[in-house]
Amino acid sequence: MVLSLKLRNALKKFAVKVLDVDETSVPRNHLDLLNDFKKKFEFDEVPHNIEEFLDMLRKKHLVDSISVASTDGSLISSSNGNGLSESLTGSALFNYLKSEMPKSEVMLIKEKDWFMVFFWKQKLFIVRSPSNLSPTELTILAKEIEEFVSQHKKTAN
Amino acid sequence: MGKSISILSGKGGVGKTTITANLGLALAKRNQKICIIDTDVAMANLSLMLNLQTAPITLHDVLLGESSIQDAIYDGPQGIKLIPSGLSLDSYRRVDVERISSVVNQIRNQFDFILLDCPAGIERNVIAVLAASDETLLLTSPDSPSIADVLKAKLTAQRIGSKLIGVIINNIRGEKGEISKEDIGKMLELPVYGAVPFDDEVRRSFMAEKSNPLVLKNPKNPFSIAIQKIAAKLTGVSVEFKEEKKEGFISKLFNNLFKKKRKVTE
Repeated sequence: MVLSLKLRNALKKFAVKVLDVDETSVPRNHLDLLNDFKKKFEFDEVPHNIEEFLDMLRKKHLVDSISVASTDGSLISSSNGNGLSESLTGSALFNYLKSEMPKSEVMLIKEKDWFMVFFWKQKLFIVRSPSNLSPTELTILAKEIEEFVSQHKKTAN
Repeated sequence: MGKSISILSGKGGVGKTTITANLGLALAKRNQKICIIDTDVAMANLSLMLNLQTAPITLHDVLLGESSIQDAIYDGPQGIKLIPSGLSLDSYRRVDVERISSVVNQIRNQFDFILLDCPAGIERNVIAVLAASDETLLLTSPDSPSIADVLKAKLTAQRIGSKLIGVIINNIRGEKGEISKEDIGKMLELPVYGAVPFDDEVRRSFMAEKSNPLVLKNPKNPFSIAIQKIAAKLTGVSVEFKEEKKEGFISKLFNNLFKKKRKVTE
């Protein structure tokens, strides 16, 4: 049984090589499709202001909106340009939760969409997304925003 | 300070665990201190490939905070160290994969390289592993489904900010329909770090009571040579390897006949 299988495989390999019966061909249309797909995720443009940057970040991290607020609820910036109610509600809820559970780092709210509120370097970040992001993803998001803000602060100074 | 490298493919069945195990051994042969971590907490099988299926303390216990990382390090072949994941499904749901970064940091000083065998997919487990690694090596087969998945994996790694060092192409059979190394490199905008030929011996090397990875079993096999070249590249050395020519059916037949004849005449 094993011998006949081996013999069959060997003959097949021999036939493929000698008779050139490899009928496969490179699926060029698949490659074109993948190249088009790839272009959607190219973020080479340098954002001029924080709104542009947050919008770029929103696309990159596949979330619906990102708002940055201070702990008193005032809006610093938002990717959709309208994050005032989110920043007010977010900061109120976060401050309340922090007073009840001081060790909490991220607040996840499920209300049709997911709202993730977290604190990073004196700022509150409010991310709305169709599914919840992991703490690693949230930290990376916050770091990117922080880097952008501090870089712009340096150039402004 | 050791370097942590994750091996990522997106798609399952491309050969992540096989390449990781063999690459670890090839690096160890180059006198590097190696630790391989099976970060696939749901579908762990590195332990099966390296004969560690009975390990009492696993990465699960460490991520659960029930054991120290030092207790989950086991001796493997060629002097490598292994941290297996548990096969149990009970603990898998409770483990906090986010802790993998701190686990890697705790052992960083003990090794030259820490290889992280990534799970398939691009979900949060993968993201946590990527965040724990200094560099990422992508792995793909030369076909469009694998390339589609590795492209998504690459985008995920970029999103996380992981440093991508190149792509390894595995399972090269030399068929006309295979996507070329050049096209894969261009698509992923990364250097091709290694091209590993398909060899049924790889699968067979794990089909025994005690599995024996091909890099150890047959170091002159084209698969093993390709892996050793990748290991040399990782250590920053360029070496020439002599490849053992694989005999075809006909030449094998003739050689056997000739050898037998020669023995008779001798």
